[in-house]
Amino acid sequence: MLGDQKLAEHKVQEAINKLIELGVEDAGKLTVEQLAALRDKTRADLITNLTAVQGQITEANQVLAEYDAIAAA
Amino acid sequence: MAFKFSGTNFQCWENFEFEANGLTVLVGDSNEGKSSLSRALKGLVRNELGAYFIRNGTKKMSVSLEIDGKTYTASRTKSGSTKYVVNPGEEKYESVGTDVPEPVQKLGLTEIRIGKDVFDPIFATQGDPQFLLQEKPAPLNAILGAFSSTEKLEGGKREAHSRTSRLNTEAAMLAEHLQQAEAMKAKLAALTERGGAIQAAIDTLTPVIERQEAVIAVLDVLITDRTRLNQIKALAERIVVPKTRHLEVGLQQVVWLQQATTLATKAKQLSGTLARLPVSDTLKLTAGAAKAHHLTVLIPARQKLETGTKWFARVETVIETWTAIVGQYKLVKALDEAHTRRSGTEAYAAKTYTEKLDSRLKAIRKGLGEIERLRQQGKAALELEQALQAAVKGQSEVTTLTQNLAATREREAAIAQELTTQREREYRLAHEITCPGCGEHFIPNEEGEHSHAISGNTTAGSQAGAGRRPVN
Repeated sequence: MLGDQKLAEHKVQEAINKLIELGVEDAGKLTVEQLAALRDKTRADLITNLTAVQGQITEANQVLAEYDAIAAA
Repeated sequence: MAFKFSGTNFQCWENFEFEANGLTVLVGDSNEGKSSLSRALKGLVRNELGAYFIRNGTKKMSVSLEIDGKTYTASRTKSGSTKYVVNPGEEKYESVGTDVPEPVQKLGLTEIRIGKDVFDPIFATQGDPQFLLQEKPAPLNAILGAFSSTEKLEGGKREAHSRTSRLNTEAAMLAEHLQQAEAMKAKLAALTERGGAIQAAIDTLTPVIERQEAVIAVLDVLITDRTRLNQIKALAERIVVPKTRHLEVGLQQVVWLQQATTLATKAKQLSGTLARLPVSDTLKLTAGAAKAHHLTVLIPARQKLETGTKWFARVETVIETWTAIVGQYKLVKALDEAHTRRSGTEAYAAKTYTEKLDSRLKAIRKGLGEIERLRQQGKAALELEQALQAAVKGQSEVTTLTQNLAATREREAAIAQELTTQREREYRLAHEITCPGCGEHFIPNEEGEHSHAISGNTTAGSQAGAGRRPVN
């Protein structure tokens, strides 16, 4: 069991280090509930940003279509 | 032809502006700048603006000619070359060297080349020979020959007109195309601007999205691992591992306890058998000997029993603790397996966890059953102790009986010895006579003689019956 505990502690520390590299400085101080809340908020922000990018891509396609129309003329 | 000519920092002029329409004559005193104006105009149309024309105390000069709706500007510094701009903001010629830009050449103010001779019909300076009149014969003939035929001049004029007309038509078409191209260019510029804005927006959002995706992925892993770690830590805090040495000693005592229980059962059976036997001294003696024999076996058993009873509670605690540990360990393994086999749904993990928890409870119930069995063995051990106490008490009674019997036998032997002594005394009294020789009392032998130990003489039977005295 001790071995499982050490392995789990290693994985947890590794994940915390990655989060700190990604800018989540206080990752080591958050509880599981706070981490879950942070994940949900980040996921919501991600969806917002993906929607924005999708809108930009749609507009980019319109611009390309107008380019093609001008080139054909 | 109307035109406007102006300049800045050219020779003596800080600023000048000159307008003309048709034939114009400049009149003025010497050193008023007439020739300077001529040099400025020639410098513009022939690219002959030397640095020495720059007004003293200044660093840059420029001259401009406005004609036919266009403005031609030439400027230079002391160290640089001349730069041209046609219609400010439209066409720039910044590296022309000694050449004259094409738009300026088209003004038609260039020199005339006829064969290998060059003539300047536009500009003449003070001291120059008069145009044509003072030319030498060879170049003069060349010029006159070039323009000698009126028909040639008319043909040239028609050709020039035709060319002008064609070029005007082409220019109109080009102007229309240019207008369309400008419109398309404006549209493309607008589209390019929109595309740039879109690209900038996507470039801004892309790293943010990549970071958010990475954060979510790491958070998923971290939440899972930290939850599992918390469960393991909680279980680890609840588990107290007893010392193995205590367990081994306790288990050995359990073995002794079981052996003592078997011996106690036999002793109990023996006590019952003895109780049913008829009571007599001899039988009691025999039974007592049997009891004593068995007690030599039972006493060590009782010692083991006492030790085993003392250890029993401890063993029970150890077994109970280890049973709980087994259940907890199984729970940990169940959590591990649930974590390993989880298929991404919490419901699956919860089901597996519940099944393993049931298994753990079953193991604990089995352990409790085992403890109850050991407790019953302990109860039997207590009964054994009571039986042993009864057996020891019986041994005490047997010892008393044995002692009483021995005393009785001793008493009987003493009485028998007393009777023998009495009978011997009575016999002596009945048969003893007094020796007439020595006066000693004695019992005569078969020959009726009396033996004297001192003298060694034997007295004759005639002395018999003399001196008889009663026995004491």
